[in-house]
Amino acid sequence: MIPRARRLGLVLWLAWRSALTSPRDTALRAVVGSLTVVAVLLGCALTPTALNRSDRIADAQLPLLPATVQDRGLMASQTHDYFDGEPIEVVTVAQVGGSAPSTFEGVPVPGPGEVTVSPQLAEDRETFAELALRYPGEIAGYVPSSFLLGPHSRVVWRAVTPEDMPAGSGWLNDRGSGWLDDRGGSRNEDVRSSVPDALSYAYPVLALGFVLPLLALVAVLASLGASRRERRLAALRLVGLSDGDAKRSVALEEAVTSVFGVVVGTGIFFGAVPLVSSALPAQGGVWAEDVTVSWPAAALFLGSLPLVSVVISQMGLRSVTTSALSVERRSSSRRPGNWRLLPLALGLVVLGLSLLPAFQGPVVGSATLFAATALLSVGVTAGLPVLVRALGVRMRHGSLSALLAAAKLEADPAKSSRVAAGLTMLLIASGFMLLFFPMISESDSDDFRVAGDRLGATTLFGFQAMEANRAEAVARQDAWGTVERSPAVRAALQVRQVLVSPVGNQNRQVSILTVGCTDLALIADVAAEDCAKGLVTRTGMSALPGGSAVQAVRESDSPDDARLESLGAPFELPTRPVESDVVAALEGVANTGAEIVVPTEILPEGVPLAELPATTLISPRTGALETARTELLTRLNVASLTFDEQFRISTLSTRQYQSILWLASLLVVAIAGLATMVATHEMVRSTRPERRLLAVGGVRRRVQERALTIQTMVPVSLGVVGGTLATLAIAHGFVGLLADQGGVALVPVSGVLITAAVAWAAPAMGTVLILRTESQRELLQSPE
Amino acid sequence: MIEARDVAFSYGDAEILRGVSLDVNPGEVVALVGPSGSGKSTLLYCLGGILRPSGGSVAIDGVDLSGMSDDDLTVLRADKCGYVLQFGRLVGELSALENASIPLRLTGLSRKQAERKAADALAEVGVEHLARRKTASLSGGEQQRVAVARAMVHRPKVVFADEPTGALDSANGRLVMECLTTLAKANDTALLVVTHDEGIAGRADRRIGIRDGIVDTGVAAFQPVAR
Repeated sequence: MIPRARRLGLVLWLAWRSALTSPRDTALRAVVGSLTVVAVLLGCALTPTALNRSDRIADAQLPLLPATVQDRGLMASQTHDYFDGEPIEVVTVAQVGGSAPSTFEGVPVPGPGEVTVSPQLAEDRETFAELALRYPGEIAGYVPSSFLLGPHSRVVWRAVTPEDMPAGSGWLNDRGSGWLDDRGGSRNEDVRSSVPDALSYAYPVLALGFVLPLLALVAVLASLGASRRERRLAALRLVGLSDGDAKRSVALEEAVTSVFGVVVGTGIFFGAVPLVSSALPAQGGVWAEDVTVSWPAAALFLGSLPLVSVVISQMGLRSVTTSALSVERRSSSRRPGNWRLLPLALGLVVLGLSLLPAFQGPVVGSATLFAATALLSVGVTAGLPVLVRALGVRMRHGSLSALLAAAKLEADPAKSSRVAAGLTMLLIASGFMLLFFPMISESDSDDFRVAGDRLGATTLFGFQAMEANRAEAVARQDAWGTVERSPAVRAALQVRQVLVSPVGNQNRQVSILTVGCTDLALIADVAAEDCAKGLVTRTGMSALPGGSAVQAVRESDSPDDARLESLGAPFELPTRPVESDVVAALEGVANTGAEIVVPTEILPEGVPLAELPATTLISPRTGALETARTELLTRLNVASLTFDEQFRISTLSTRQYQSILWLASLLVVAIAGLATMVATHEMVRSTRPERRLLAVGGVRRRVQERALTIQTMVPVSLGVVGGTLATLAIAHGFVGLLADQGGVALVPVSGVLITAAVAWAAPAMGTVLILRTESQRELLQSPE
Repeated sequence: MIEARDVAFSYGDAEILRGVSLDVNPGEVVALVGPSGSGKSTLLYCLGGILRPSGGSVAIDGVDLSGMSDDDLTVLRADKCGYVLQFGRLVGELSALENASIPLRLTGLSRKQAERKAADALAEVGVEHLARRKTASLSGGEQQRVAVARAMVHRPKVVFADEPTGALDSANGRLVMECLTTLAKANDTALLVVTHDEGIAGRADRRIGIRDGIVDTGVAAFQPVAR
């Protein structure tokens, strides 16, 4: 008896030779595997990268002690400014007394008439004269990278006299001595722990959600590949390889290909880290060394890829006869059990439950819909063979082509359904992508983009809320609710808060809210008399998304009167404001405040407020209001932004967001396209023996083509129809759930239908193309 | 070399073999002849340990196959048997040399040793010049000669051939058969051939007729064929 190790060596050699002798198939499988690995690693890198970023944000925060604790040293204040859509971290310092240090943690402290800048800001100062004017002075030194969030961060340290220091400044101290809290009190905790644990799992789970359907397609390839090996396995068994050896040979071949894919994919990922870091939509960019991978998660996912391939290939071998004769003698076709319809039925029941009032809450409703999604995804794919067989039985009475197709569908419906199963799962995942990330398209009139703003805002607001104390988050939500329910506000407008959430960055609260003084005094720490002086503006990191409705209002001067008067008709901001007529008209408008200033005379008329997706108030500019606003903004230490700046910020972050989504989408589409192509090719090729027999028997080519197309398209059509209906139903549920919470979103009907059409057409075209490029002579002479 | 007693075999309700008994001696060339569907191929597979008889017993080189596990049967096939089937049944992705070397590697020889001996075997059947070609690209006759080399390379006790020339023209068929019989005689290997071809049956030492799953005594059975 041959030693076990040597036998295993022989099996390994056979697997290796087989992989090498089918280079095209091996390469395609490896490419699909590599791209999948890149996608998985990207998912595994997002959370650690965000955490590294969070650490940098913490490190960049200056440890300031309250002004009351000492009387000499280095006073400092940390604020933000914006230029060309990019933020600038501004540190204002003043030396009090003679004991101030010349450096702080490697940052040269500027003296009078000097500035310390980041390399990017130094470059910008040379490029833009207005920036040099804004931050004048000799460069005392450069801010080291440890203080910069990214390679393109703009940071400036400027020196002023102690008298010119802004209110709320503190004493710069050793790290660990303490920080100022929001109200000027001291606290000793770092902000490093502000990223919630739950967020650590969000990105990998999200990535896995997109990668799973692709893994299903990879599994289809492996499965089809296993069927194709029937002849080889039989030949090997004939010369004395055991059944176990034959299966091990296939498993090793799959493992070799998958491991190759993992190695190449990992190489591609790390080779592309500089590209990934520059593509991440974070202000100032991301340091390449910050793009790290969560290795436990990566090892889990990457290790599972070869395992999945091997397991699926072995499962595929269950339907392959591996006797030495290679003769499959089956007296009857294997009928898929009706139990396969159970997950589909369960999914429909759960989807139905989500319509009931008891399942409408934000948590229960989401959980129900996610459960329905999972069940329907699995249900449609698991139930396909049953449906395919049922249809096959009914098609037997049709034409010769239909009869030939029906025979195959009925004989092995599971095999016929494999390509469709992967496509169906991919379709549902794509539907989710369209629902949650509509900003992929840069199209001006893309409704999904607006819907995505709303849905993304609500979804991500949940994560943001987790960062704070839950009670605080609830109180904040209640406060906003009070604003919205306020009679004075409700009568005039609908106030919405919008978040733009670039991946890997802090959520941006995009809101400019103007309310009656009485209402504001009820809910916010703003004195009614301050409010009454003029316009009280509450700003976040403000910018308005395209499509927002704008209503100009005037607030009553009387402190007892909370009326808001409309000025002109509301209008809708264009989706690309920088190119619009409205914005062109705004170019001459002076900017002095954090709110948008629009002369009433340019407001277009006739846009019904209720039909617009979001509404924001703007105020006309008057002398009295301007003074009040300036006072207020100074007191609140809010940087002024021009209308143009607001939109540049918004546009820039949107573009960055779009770019990474484009990359992700292209990756997914590339993998899916390749996988579908190979799966279709494998499926068509697996029918060669039967088609050769038909050709020999004189069955015309056109009949064969038609039969094969029907055979391909019946399961694909069932899968696509089922997947589309499931996706739309689920999307409808999520949109309804969001609407209940005050959000606005659209069911991405046209996007899902377009995806479904592509998913339906790709295998059809693939089949016809493959058949058209294969001559009858080739078919007859094929060695397979 | 082969002792079969009352071998029976059924596919479901269909009785294919109904009690066949025969013996084959070392170095003997025996032709199994009979009409289509008579059960001769099934008998060959039962004798060769590929199919398990539903009744009776088969012994190869004194080893009773009944009751053996699949793995033991696999080892026995690799050790004592060679097979030549109608369409070669080679591994298309491997070269002729690699195909022929597999049985030797299963006996524990190193790759180099196995390929050296396989090259000799290919030379014996006249296809040494095709050693590096993938078998999928070979003609039917060439494939069958590689299959003969593969069947004989490890000097088995018995070779089972099922219509080895069925898919070949007469010239190639003669060539393949000549290779088979010559090597069998040279190596004292028993050769059991299923054939329809009278010419091939005529080259055998003995012919056994099979009809309706039993030995057909009407065929010049159990008598050495005159040369």
